[in-house]
Amino acid sequence: MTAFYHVINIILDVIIVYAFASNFNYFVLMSLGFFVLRAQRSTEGSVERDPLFKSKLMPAISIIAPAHNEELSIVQSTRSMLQLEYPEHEVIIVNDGSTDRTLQLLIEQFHLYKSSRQPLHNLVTGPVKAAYESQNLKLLVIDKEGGGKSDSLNAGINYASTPLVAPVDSDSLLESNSLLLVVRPFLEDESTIAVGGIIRVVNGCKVEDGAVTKVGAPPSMLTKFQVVEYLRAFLGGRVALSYMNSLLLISGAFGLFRRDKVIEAAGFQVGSLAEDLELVIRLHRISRENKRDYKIVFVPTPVCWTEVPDSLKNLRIQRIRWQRGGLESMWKHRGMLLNPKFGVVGCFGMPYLLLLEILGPCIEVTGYVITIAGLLIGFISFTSALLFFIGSVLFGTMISISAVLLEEFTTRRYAHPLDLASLIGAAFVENFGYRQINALWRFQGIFEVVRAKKKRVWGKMPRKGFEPQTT
Amino acid sequence: MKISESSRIRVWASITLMVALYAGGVYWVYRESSGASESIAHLVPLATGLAVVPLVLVMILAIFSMLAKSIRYVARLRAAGISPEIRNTLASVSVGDGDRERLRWLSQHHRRPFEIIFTEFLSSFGGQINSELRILAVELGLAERWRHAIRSRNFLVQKTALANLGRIGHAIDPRLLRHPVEQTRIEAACALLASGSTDAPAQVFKMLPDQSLLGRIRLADSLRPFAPEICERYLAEGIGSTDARSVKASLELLRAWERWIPIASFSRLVAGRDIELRLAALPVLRYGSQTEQEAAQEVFDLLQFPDEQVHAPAAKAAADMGISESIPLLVKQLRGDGPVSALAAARALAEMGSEGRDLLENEIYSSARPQYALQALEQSLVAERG
Repeated sequence: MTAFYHVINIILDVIIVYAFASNFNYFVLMSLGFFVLRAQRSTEGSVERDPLFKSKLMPAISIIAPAHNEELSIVQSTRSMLQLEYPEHEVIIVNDGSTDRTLQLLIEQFHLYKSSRQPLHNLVTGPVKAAYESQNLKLLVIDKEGGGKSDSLNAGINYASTPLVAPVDSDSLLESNSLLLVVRPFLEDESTIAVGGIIRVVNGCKVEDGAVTKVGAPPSMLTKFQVVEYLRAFLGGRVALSYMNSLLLISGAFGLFRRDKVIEAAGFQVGSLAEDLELVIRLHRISRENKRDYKIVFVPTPVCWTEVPDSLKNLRIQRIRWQRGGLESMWKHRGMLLNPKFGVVGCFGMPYLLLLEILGPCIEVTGYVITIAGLLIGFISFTSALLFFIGSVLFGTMISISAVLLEEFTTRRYAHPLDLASLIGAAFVENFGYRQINALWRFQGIFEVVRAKKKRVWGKMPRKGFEPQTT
Repeated sequence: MKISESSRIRVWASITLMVALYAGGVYWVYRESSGASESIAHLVPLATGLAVVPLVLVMILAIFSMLAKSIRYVARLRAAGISPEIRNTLASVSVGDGDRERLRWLSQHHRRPFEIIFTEFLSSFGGQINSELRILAVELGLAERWRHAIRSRNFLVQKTALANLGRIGHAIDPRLLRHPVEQTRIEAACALLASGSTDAPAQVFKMLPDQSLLGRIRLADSLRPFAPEICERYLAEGIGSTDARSVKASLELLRAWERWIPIASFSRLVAGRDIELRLAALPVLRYGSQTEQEAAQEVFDLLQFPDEQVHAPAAKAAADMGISESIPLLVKQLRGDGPVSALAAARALAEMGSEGRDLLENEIYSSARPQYALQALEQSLVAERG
């Protein structure tokens, strides 16, 4: 029995060391994010809109939005995409086997005609049934048989004729100046191959004519927790990782890629649950293997607004899918892990993703189980368990509040002081229950990968549409 | 967004300091708690201690942020309240019949909203009003404030100050054109051009090749009013330069301006150069060439270039310039090249009037791959109807 307690104690030591090492890591990344954002803040508004907007030197962009049963929001989001401020851009909507009125609505609302448009590239995709185009040739709708998000994105890329492609979610809203901002790293440095913008939570904001007109904190606690999570992930983690050129994830909701590089990498991986993560890792891999000078960048100013789940059921589905996708991508590229050939990506970015983002929930859940069991059996004192819990909560609170403050010190999108107060409150409360349940879901995601449970082709959550989305 | 080298050093220095402080904290708490016997009891106080210290700091920061945000919020409301009065008084004074003393009081007691509105006026009005505003800027001490602000570490403050100094015709220190931070260089160049300095266009033109595309776009826009002077005096030299970056920057200027500015022996200056430069010259052949034949010859050469990737832009140039003699080459391209190039050839043919369209129709019925001809013809008809 003594040997058993000894082993359990060692496991607990490992868990405690892991928990605080990971929190320490977050703390360092958050601090790095803060200093980088501060250094960037002074230059981000430096270029006025007009010279860029009217310049003939700007690279053209194709926005590619896969759509699957999006009748609630497709017309508005397409209109919003067409109205983006940019000198030359086209919108390619890929209707991926929708069974609702998505295609009909697009044809009717934008007066599309059946076009003879041909693919220009040869990424392998499912069969395309037809192409429809608007008369000003700014909107192309590709109607194809259902093949999933990656397949649709690849089909869209095949039809794109521009040097840059921007995969976006058709149920998200881009701010009108998003393209002008997200293209900036490509203009500043020719070695840039991909750029990601920030995804923000639209719940609680006022949306009019496809644009967010008033930014506010969401009313429900569950969505507030997600606002804090998004801020933590984007302003802390991604800013810092981008600074070290080891950014592994450009959100599928909004990114900008060099088309030739995506085609060289054979496009998005069909069947992947985290096609965005997988592609970025592959771009790193190819660039590093070929010893190229390249940059994959995150910029915090071009905003894409997205609706987050407001029920536990939908949130659970989303988190399990993310976790599965992350683990699958990591497994596929396991050869890069701790491999010095891949530089900072292999030696820092990948271990960070694996240990903190993917395996973190396993360790956290194990810690909870052992602590509770230890308390019940009596080999852990109540004081020690309480101290462990308090320490964990305090660290979590610190990281979350820091994320909210990062927003306040840099981008400052929430104008009202009460919004800031409510988000700081949520950053504290999320440590009691939400964080633990989230860890459980993600643990379940890992479990499903191990059990090789069948994948859903479109991991979509039910949307309410954007209007009215008011506080 | 690119970070300057000095900012990069500051970022890493700050992080190193924070990590050092943190590691010091770890060591101290570990030493204090090293007497505990139970393993978990040994580590937990250490970890808790590590969490508490930064949490307290973050909480203090949070409280200050809340206070600062509330103050800013109130200030914004106040600014919104006083703005109409500032606007009216400034408008009256700038046309010569307002209360100058009241304006002075407003500029001193509501500095931020006053400066914002003053900047708006300065950039919106010309003529007599602008002259009056220039005098006011000096009289109210704004010019002096801006002179100090160009040394600010906050780029937005620096940028506004530079732009305003340029608008009031104040001399800009030419050393700023060699500033290590590109954005500062660009803002200084724009201010220099706006200030009316006689040698400004030459100085700004010379700095073009060293800037990123973002900088070049901005400068091309600011240089636009000086286009005739630049073309007459500097552009031919830039295009004929042995430095590829100078050639590229000069060609980009022509492309950005889209102006018909014939340059002596333009095609000869680009023909025979590196293919990348010839491609960069293609879109501006029609603006820069002195004769159509000169431009057409370069297009012909590129349509027959061995690398297929060159054919698509060459086809577009042929269509833009309406070079009907290129039709046989375009048909060959349509039949033999890959999708991108074939489609470009088809689109070019569709723009070549009835002769091109007839050929496309024939292709639709007789070719083994009619799809590109069909797409181009269809798009051209839709565009015509639209």
